[in-house]
Amino acid sequence: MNQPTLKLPAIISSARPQIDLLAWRPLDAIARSLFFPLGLQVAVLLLFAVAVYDGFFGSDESGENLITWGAFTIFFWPVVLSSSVLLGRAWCAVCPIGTIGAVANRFTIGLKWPRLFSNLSLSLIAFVLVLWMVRPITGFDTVPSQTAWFFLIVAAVAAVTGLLFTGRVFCRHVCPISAPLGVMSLVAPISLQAAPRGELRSGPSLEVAPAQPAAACQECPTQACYRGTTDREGCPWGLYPAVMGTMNRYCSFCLKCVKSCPTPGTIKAALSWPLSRLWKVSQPRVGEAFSILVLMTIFLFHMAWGHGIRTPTFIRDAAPDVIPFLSAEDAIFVSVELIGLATMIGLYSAVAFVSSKMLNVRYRAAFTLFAFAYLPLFIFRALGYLLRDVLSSGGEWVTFGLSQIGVHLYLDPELFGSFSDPIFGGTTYNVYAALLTVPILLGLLVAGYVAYRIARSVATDNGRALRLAAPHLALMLVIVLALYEFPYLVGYKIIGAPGLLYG
Amino acid sequence: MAIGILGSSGARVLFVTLLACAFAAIPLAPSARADGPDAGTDRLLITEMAAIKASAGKLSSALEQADFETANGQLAAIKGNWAAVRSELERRDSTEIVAGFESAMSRVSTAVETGDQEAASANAGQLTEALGAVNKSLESADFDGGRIVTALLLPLLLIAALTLALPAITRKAGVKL
Repeated sequence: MNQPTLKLPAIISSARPQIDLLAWRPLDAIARSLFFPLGLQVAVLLLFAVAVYDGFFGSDESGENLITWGAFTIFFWPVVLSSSVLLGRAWCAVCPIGTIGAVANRFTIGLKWPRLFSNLSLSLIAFVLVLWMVRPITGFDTVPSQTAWFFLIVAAVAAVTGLLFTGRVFCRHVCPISAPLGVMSLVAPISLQAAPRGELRSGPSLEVAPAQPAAACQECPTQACYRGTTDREGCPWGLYPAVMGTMNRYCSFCLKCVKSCPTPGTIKAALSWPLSRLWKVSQPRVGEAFSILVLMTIFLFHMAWGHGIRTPTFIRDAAPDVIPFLSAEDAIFVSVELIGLATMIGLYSAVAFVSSKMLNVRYRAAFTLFAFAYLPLFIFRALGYLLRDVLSSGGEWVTFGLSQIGVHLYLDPELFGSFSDPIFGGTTYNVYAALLTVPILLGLLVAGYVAYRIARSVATDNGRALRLAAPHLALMLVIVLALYEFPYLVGYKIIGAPGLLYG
Repeated sequence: MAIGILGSSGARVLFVTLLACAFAAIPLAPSARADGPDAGTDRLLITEMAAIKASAGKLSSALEQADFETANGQLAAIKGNWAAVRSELERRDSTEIVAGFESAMSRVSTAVETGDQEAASANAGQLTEALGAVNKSLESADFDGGRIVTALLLPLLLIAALTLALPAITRKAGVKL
């Protein structure tokens, strides 16, 4: 590994006092325990092994098989969403695939991962391919044995990558959910750090002053948090807490740095306002901006247009001919996603261009920086869906979960009433509509505020910040009012039909 | 003092134990294949009950419109999904509920065959009531003691063995954690 360097910034904004969760002794004790996160890793690995076994030898019903149900009902999106919103990438610390890769990495032959791929590109491509191509072709989200094969193959890739390359290469650069998790983790109110982050942006690339290391780190002769000690491992992700500030997208909260740090109290689990880190991104990357656009596509176009009669007729008619190697249904689904992604990238690129001209900075700098403002649209929308799923399928989840440990009962899935889509026979339209529209509107407000705060971080005064944020606020409005489900929901409410676009 | 206790080494052991218990929800027997040799052991009735409820709703609608062909199809669908539910009810000794549901189903079937819409609709209402009784019976928990004990103990033992052996492993093999 390269020697980590401490580059002291010329100017740093004054650091505000922060709440350190590790100051609470029970949490500190857990952080320093040898069994954390090992105990959790072993438990989740066991659960994963049994789920794979169930995939091959259990029920053929996807809704009754542990691997398919667990992966696509519980893991996506409830676990991923709630864990990343609350605890950043904490899932990565206990992920069974990551554990397999980490064990293999103990026996690595030590190759260097190519610099060309030391970014989020492979992860994002894998995410899109798995979701929009592998899934429709193989049907691994509906056939338990296919689900089991899929996860075994991913585990094998993680193991081989671990054997070949130094560090957590699979988790950082290859794992299909690494890119989306990385950006979603920025919403979390907790971050591990040993230094306050610089906040001054300057120059055509909007560079941010680097983090100012804590005094203890500047004098530390061992850099044990990064390198480890004779009996403790350093950061398995190759991160150096002394300079990572608050903006680390890779930290999985494994807390190995806390265990190995010779000066207790130096590394903090700092608490901040949820979403506040979105306007403090120190080194925004193109891959992150594209990750956000992909996430928005999934939850805007996919949910608004991707189902049955919701899909505009021109897509329904043309898609099966354009993508003949997929079934008609899958061809429509993939077409919706691709059209959605192209629309989202096109619109955002245009607005980012305007921002770059207004700021007189490089296009890339504006493109990457303002993308984070759009993340709340996705997060709030996804949380709305999650709440609706809990209300409409909670009984089924409890039934399934309890049956796995030998408690057999059957609870009505719709414990709290019928929340299904009114157009497909649901009964409580107003509740359904509220669960979809209220989060969208909240997301719009928060996204607008984040856009303003990002603009404020590069503008000299409030008026200029508002002018800078205006194009993005306009695009957000367009997205919500025209591309979200508003045409669908409002059309249904007013004229009793899904809307003009929907046949 | 409480914080002191929580931060002690004893609390760490307790933490590991609690973790093990929390993650003991590991199913050692997989979910049963519906067409496998142990088909009768499928006790997860999520798909079956959903299908029966949907069919019962469609049956009532069809009978209101005197659509006996659709009604026949829905009755067949109910019968197809009933076997697993019946098996679970019998396991719970709810024979009266089984008899009540099958009797209602038989009466609807007879009325549909004879084309008596009024009787069929009335019996369909009784079938829905019987389905409510089935649902209520299934809502009470039935415990599989063996599975509970295994699901609790095995992961607990595995994790305890691993964590107890951990210091020795790290020391002898030079593994850094």
